Amino acid sequence: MKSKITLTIFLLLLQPAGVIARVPDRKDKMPGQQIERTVAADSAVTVSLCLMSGSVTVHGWDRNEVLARSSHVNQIELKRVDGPNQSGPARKLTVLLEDKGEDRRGEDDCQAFGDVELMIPRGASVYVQTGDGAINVFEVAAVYARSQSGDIEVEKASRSVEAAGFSSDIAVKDSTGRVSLKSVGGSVTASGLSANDAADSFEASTISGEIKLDAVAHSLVNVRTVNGNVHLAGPLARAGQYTFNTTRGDVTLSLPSDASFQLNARLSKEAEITSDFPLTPKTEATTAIAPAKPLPPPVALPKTETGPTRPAAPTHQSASVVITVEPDVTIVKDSALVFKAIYTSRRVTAIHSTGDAMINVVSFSGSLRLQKN
Amino acid sequence: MSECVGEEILQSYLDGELAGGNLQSVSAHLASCLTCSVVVRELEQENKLVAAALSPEFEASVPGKRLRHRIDAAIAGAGQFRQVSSGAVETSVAVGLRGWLGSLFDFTPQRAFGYAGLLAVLTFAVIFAVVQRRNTPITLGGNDVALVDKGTERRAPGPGSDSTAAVVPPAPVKAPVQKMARGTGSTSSRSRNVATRLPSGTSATVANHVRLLPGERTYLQTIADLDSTIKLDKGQMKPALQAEYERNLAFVDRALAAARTAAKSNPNDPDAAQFMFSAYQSKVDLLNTVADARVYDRQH
Repeated sequence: MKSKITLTIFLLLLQPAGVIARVPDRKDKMPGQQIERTVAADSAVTVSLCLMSGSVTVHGWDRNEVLARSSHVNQIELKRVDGPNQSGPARKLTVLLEDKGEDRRGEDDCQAFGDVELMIPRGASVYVQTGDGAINVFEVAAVYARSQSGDIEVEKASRSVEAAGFSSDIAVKDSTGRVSLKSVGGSVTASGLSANDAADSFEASTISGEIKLDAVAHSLVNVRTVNGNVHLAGPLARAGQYTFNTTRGDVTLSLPSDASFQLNARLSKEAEITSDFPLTPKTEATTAIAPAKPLPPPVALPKTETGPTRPAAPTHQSASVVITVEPDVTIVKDSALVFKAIYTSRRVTAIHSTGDAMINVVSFSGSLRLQKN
Repeated sequence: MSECVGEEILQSYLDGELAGGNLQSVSAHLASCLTCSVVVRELEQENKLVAAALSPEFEASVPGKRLRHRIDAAIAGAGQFRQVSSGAVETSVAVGLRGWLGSLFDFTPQRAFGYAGLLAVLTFAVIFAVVQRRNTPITLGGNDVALVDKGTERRAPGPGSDSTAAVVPPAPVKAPVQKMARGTGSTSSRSRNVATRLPSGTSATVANHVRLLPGERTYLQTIADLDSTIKLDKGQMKPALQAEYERNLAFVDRALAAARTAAKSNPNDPDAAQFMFSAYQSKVDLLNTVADARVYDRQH
């Protein structure tokens, strides 16, 4: 009896051992095993990578080498594509990946799945595309990133950033040079950006995503959205040209109190303009204003207690009516000035201080807020 | 000699109604009894007389056959019978109607008020119908678009007034044009004159007369090109991408429709046109992005 029990226990212990013994036969490599490749490269090498799906992380480093690393692929190849003269460090590289479980190599066909990490020289340019996955790039000179649904984040790019996504949220910070950010349904966030030269511009566009800019020091800023709201905070560049074009989104500009700008707004008849800055607005009526008619009452903000300042009524029929509105501290808190474009107006031109920067706002039905930081 | 046979039995004998022993005994009795023989002869004479008198009746069909003939005749003549009946009903209705019409002209104060009210309603209905007819845009070839006076088109020269056929998105074009047609009666009357001069029907001809702002045609053509590119393999689009695309396309289309309406209702306002073109550009940007994404998916 005892021998039978001992045999049964022995067999029971033996069964899992057999199963475990068969596992290594299924795959050649244990999951999590990293593949790594390195190649000598020029400091301004151009590296491209394209994935069907998977996230990509790119770091700039001080070595003149390109390193590619992944734990989700069978093979990595750093293919030189810099022409027939391939002596010396590589100037153009394509990262090719071979998927696990499939005998195919991503020969320029973006078929690979898997997360990839790249280390490239700080002066390098990187072109990254992925169908579905996040892209993070740090401390690289030029970045071209494109993802359909993954988020894109770029930090400390020194020459240019071009990022595009469909439903991706795009964030760029602490970078210099030309910046172009486009997302359809995702948001765009930019902070701590500046231009390398006067030709560098900042452009951002979405359809329904929000656009937030903080301390963007480019002198050419062009923002466009259909349904998203636009927020800009930070100082304006001297002689900067800012254009905000929305169809239904609101534009909010949070500026330092010493900001100097000229405002040129083209808004719908009923659009509201709210300004914390004393402005000297100039409105151009598109149709004749009947002097006998009383002006519509201005819209009061919740924070005003005794009502906003009413613009002076035009004294004569004219295509251009200049209305000067002085800030009235007895009426409005914090020297804020609130006014609404009179019914027949479509364009509002106003100056604050010496008018160094030019702010152009074009919105079909959005409102404009000028706030003090 | 046996007793004489009764007259009823003799009549039965003549009618052939006796059989068996009765017939033999009556026959034997008649052979030996002169009285009964005379009676039988007299009964026979009477029978002949009656038969001669009723011969036309007897020669005719039996009552059952006549009845059947009568029924057949009735069935065959049913249609005729019905016609005759409806004619009778019509006659009765006509009589009733004539009586009712006659009573209509029998004026009472209540009835006079009723007639006056009915007359007023009819007058308003006629006026409304005439006004509606004047303001209805002309339709040609199933395209519900208002036709524009060529002189109006000439006042706004530019790419929008060239003679090539336009690709017109249905929603943005249709609504404002209809609104204009209602607003300006004189224009619609001129339009009607133009419509009569137009050859019946081609949609290209009609499209040339859809009111487009200068430059709008270029956007529409670009959008149509991009849209057809996207639709080529729309079924292969990733579901998430498809949903995002349709969501944002709805945003753009709503914005475009609103901007276009504003531009149409303010033809002299350059800002309104600028808003519209901006909305067009947003749509072009969106379609470009989607087309690029499609190319990317197709290649990979």
